Amino acid sequence: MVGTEPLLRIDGLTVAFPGETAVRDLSLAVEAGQTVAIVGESGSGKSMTALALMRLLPRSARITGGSARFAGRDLMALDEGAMRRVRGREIAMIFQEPMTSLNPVHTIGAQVAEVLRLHEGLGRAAARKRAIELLDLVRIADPARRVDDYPHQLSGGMRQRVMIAIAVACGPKLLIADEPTTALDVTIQAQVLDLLDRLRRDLSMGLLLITHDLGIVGQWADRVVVMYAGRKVEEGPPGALLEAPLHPYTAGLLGASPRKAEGLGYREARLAEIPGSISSARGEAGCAFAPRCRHAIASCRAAPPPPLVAHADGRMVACPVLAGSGAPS
Amino acid sequence: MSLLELRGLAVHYATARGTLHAVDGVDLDIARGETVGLVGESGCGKSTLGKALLGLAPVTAGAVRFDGVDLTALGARARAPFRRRMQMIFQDPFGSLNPRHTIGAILDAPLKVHGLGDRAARRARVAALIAQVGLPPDAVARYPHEFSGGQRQRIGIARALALEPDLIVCDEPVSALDLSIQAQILNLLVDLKRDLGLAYLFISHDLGVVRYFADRVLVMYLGRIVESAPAATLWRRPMHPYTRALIAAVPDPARRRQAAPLAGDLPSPQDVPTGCRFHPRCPFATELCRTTEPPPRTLDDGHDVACHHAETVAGA
Repeated sequence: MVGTEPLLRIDGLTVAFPGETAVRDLSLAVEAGQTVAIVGESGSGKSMTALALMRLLPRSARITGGSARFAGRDLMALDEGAMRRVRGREIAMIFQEPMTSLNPVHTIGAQVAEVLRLHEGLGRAAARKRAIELLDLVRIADPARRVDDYPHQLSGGMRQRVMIAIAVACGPKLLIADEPTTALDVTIQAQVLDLLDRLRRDLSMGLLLITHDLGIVGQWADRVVVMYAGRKVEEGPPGALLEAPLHPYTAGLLGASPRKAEGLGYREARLAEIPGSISSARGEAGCAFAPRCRHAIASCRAAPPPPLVAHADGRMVACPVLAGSGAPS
Repeated sequence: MSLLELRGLAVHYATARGTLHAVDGVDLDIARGETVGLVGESGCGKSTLGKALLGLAPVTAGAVRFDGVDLTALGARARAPFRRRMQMIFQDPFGSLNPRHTIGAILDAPLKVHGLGDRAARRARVAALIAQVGLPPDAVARYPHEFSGGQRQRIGIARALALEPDLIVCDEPVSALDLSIQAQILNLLVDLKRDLGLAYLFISHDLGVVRYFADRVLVMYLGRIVESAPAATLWRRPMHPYTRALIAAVPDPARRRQAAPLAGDLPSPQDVPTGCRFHPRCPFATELCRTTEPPPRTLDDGHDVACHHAETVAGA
């Protein structure tokens, strides 16, 4: 895909609430068939980025800058009618809690069929037949019988499969998955991530995977964007980024993870804490992470915040203190 | 003698659709100062087990012995002095903190109920608890909503410590917290254990956390313990197919784009499979597994395992 326009190119996206900026000057790209992960904790702006792309932001939020080029158009400039044709058909989204996204009084078959009738203009019988095929595609056993089940008759993992069936019903070019497995048990999580990856490959979809889980990022993503307090602080391929993080926040997350302790128990190794909380970023003129950063120097807290700088191997980082000094320990 | 001994513990609920076997015959020992991890997926009964040993869920059968005394044989009054020594912290401390009470009042309440000290002594104890869990001194006059998730969990921990317990049941205490805050809370629990000689029953679905935090780990599936071993042994040589599947399902950058092998959903605890409860999802299952429930066996490397084919599984 080198030299051609990516499937999605976000450039300088800024999303503001009254008195607060949720996403600041965010740029990233997703190629067809590629999985890009946005990783961050609560308040990082990762979910607001997804909602902005779908133009489903809460009423009080405003997109105050930037663009999102998708298949030759700027999603941020489309009117609601045009956006409605994009949503569901060209870009689909799944959420953390499938129960709240499914209508409890309609069968799952009717809910999959509804999308097909609306976007593809299929008749009742054809939509039902296709709905059964889609339930089979997402590996729901005995789909011809399950199609008449109601959401409450299904387990959490099965409901998420139904949501995925609805999302891919019209063959979208881009699927946004916002913490799609956070509410699921670990064995079910593995099944759902495997399913998403297989669909990405088979349907050549771009997959924008929003998660807080670094293990998921390392296992499934082609590219990782780390966000903190609304800004991208680091980006790169997962192997390099997780092996040798360049931003103190990324390094902090890895140090805080019990998995990183590599089999050591609490008697052998203490977890590296990131002191304080993300709320300390509020009102910070310089680097938002400076109040929690043990590498911070006086200039970190002076405006403007550090810009993203390109490093070797397609990596980017917004931290001048550690630039050139190797990875933070 | 163990601090806590469960023998054949069962918690069954009568429901419209038949008996629900939430906990179905569990043996468990916790030594003084030991951390025992209890892992399993939703509906396996791990939270019910934690509540049952504190008397917060009805025990259908079996014994809960604390310091050698069977609590299930005692009335509420006789149980009170033991109950004081076992406390619990929850996943969502906000749900268990009265929003109309200050932190000072929340921490004072258990001291008052148990008649510990006069007003001045209790005030001093509350201030000491607040300092012990790393909250600022002015927290005493503030309300739960003024605190972040991590700070609220510190309040929940302070309340659990108020009565100087020997054992704290921690039910998913860091699951709702961001990674950076999770490490703060885990480190605090490690420090408290060292300083106060606490024992923990640490209930979690997160294997990475349990491996780090527990001395010994029990794996629970549909109301039963299927395997238990020292943490390092369990990870090095899992012998139950379910334990293997749980470990394999943990996302791992070393397994780029490789699927986890375990298929199927968790069966309902109202509809427990015959024979070995795990057999419908088990790649090692044979006819024996479909008909005969495997009894727990003790193996030479510190393992207890309930699987007919444990030696085959460990070698696979």
